[in-house]
Amino acid sequence: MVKYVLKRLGYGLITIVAISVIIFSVIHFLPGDPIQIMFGKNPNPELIEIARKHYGLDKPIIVQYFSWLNKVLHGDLGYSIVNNLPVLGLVLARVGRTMMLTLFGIVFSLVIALPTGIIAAARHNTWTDLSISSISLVLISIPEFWIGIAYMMIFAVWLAILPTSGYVSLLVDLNKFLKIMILPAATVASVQAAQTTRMIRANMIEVLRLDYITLMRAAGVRDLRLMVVHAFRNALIPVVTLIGMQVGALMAGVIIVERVFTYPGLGLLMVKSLQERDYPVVQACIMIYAVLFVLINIIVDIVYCSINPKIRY
Amino acid sequence: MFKTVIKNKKLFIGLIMLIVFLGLGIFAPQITPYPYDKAYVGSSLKPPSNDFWFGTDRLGRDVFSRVIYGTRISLIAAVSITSVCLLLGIPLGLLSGYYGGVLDIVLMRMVDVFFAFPWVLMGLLVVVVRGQGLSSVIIALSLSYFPQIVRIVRSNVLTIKEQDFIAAARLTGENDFYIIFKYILPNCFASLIVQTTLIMSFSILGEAALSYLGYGTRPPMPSWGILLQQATNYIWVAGYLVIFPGIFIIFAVLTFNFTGDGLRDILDPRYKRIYG
Repeated sequence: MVKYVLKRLGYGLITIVAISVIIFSVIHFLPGDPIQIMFGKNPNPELIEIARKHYGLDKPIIVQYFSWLNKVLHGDLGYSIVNNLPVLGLVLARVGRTMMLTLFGIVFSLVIALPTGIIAAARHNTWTDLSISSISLVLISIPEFWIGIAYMMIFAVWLAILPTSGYVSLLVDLNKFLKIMILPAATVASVQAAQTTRMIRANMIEVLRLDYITLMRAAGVRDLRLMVVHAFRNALIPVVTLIGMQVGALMAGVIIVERVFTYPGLGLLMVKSLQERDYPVVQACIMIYAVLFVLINIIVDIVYCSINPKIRY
Repeated sequence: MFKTVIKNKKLFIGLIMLIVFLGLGIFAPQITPYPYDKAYVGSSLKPPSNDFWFGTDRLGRDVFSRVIYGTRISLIAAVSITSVCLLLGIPLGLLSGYYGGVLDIVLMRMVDVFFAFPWVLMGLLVVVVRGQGLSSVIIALSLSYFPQIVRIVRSNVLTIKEQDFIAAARLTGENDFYIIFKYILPNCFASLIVQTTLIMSFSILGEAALSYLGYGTRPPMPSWGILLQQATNYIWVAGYLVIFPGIFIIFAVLTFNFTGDGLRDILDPRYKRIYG
């Protein structure tokens, strides 16, 4: 197990390094020489030389990469072009909010998906099953942002019971915080729940065909217990894999949902900064997303391996 | 063949929807009553009426015409993304699966990184480099989706290449190139077709989402994503602006989901047993 975890961490590290190289080169090869821009229209060649030396831009690109990496590892992500604040502070303030929204979304989606998936499988080929599978098929065909806008129309504009946007820290006003979180979290959850329901249903149907289930049924194990305790546990393994594979899609979804509800998370910061061409901030956001992404994948893999010992390779 | 299609309801509905979708995209100039970028003074934010079926936007442009032209953008995006995915994915999948070894490990590790990288971030990176535009969206989404093709082809090749007829072909002295294209690739078609329809539907969703974030086509060219983004500013006064582009996106995505599901039922019987 320890060996497996170390191996996964090693792969994760390689992936992060690869991504950092990509991000560095993307920023490096951007059109427009920063030094030229700094000195305006009539540059003094000598001054340019000095500036180049000062910023280390005269060194080979590999050296530049390592000095950039060194800075990043020491928490120096540069300064925002727009408001001159250190990027690290800007970004860190937002990470927690994004994680909170994601977590709310996942929990919400599991609360919906676990029972509906199991019920659909238990009532396979009945009207209940048919309606659950049709609804989930339609839901995965709707873009998140449209669901978000639709929720906004229904609950904020027509019924006027929830706010359309804004943010309050949960430490300041818990009640208001929850009200604000409901719509974005429900949006994240809707698509997620539809996918998870489909997966759970399919796996449960597979598992329910197996001999051991028939045997238990014959031995008189009650249906509910059979479903929840015996069948579900085996159906869970592919579901964890699916959740792992969906981390990327989930992150993408959350970025868009943040934009829809102007929820001030990392995604909104990234989207806004790109519009303002504030590249140091964009760069930092992408880097943090990449690191989070790799970390979550490692965690999913470890969870996966601990519920399914067969996979320990 | 024709009988199978009629019998499978999902596929039948999907194909009819597909014809409608293609028709709307191709004949957009003939169908639309007004040009997509013509602003009619004095008809700003008018609700749906006989003159303007889907109402007008703030500049007084006909939303119906804009939505129909959006179909065209969506269609262009879906077809281009899927083609790039196939062009990139099929050769890589064939190589990786057929030759195996170090090549396979290196290729698959790289593909895994692309597979896992969130597509919105990919869109952002490409936009940072190339700027906003439909071509940036196409590049980003192709890079995000081609790993699916690589994986499908590779896993097919792995099972096919172990079969007797491949060994027979080798014994008769056929070269690798011939074996791959004559015997292995045709056997991958069934799963490739299914995956292709799925990528079509992802592409439509992805293009709409990236346009919504403002990375897609430039105004005044309408894309469903842009229409929705503009509509969100007016949800208090003009809710109809949100409804129609949304319905079209769902229609387009369902088209490919139905077609894909139907094709899968026919081409992969095991799947049908489970998903029904």
